[in-house]
Amino acid sequence: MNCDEVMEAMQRDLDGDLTAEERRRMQIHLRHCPDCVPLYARLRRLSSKLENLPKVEPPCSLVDALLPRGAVLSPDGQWRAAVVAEGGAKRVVVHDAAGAARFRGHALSPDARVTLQWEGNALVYDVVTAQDGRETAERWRVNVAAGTEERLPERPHP
Amino acid sequence: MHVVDPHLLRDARAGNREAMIELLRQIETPVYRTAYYLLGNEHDALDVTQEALLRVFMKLHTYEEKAHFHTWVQRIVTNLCIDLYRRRHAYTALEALDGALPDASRVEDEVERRDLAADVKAAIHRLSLHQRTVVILRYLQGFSYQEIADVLNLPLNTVKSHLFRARQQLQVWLQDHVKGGIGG
Repeated sequence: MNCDEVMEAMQRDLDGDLTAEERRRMQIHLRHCPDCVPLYARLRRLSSKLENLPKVEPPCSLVDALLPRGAVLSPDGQWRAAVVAEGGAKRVVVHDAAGAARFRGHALSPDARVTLQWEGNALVYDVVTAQDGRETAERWRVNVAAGTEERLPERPHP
Repeated sequence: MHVVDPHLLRDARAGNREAMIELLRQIETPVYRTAYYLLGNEHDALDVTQEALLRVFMKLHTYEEKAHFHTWVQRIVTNLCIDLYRRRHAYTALEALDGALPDASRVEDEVERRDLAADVKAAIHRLSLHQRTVVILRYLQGFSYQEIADVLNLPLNTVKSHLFRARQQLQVWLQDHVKGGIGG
């Protein structure tokens, strides 16, 4: 192999594309060529840097925003309420008909059980959380237009 | 390359909502990764990822099983990124694809320019759009030459030539950086 052929072989070697015989012939050239050896080292270093580029992840799940599990429509069809998971927590999010988030509730425990229901244009949601073997229930009411939520007093037991 | 469960794919195509959500969850991160490295920032990457997921959702029924599913998905996201890039840079298609230095000279911020030389990620961003795409598919998606050729609809030899030139260019840029770094 001459230097040009070896350049191509070095590149293909980085991709695991050489046969054993091609690799052997490349290495014979590298043993004798003072120009190709440092280039081969730089290419291998570069390739390893590229392999180690940070495997970035989206900061939040876009699938949840796009197709929330169990989304509940308001009676007039204007709002769509859903529970979304975000960075180790859950929260209630209400989108408008165009898909824009119009309300985001407070962070809930990731294992909280949440049920959603609409009372007119107010969203009411129940949160059941297990703590030390006991379950606690909270009820929240959301005023979507105002972007606020308030905790409702304890429900009387039936 | 990671392969999608054919049953999941079949159920999603048949309109099963839970299967569709699961399928989109599986491709969300690889799609975001390509967009992030092609566009160079989180904000644009999130926008394009959302658009790509929506297209997969809307067009899954047109997907033909001749192509690998991941190849099909990566074609959608790379096309969206290339479209966005062209709109941003107001280049003609030819300049955007063949220009060796798309935007290095346009960077106004001096600090940013120093970072460009400093970092592999920034160096990738100095590559032409096609070279950058090939590097990302090879290293961030682990695609073979043939899979990259399928995504970009390019001949195999063109893919190799983009990849080899990109690495040749990158090792020169990063070498310059090391030399420059000793003195300054």
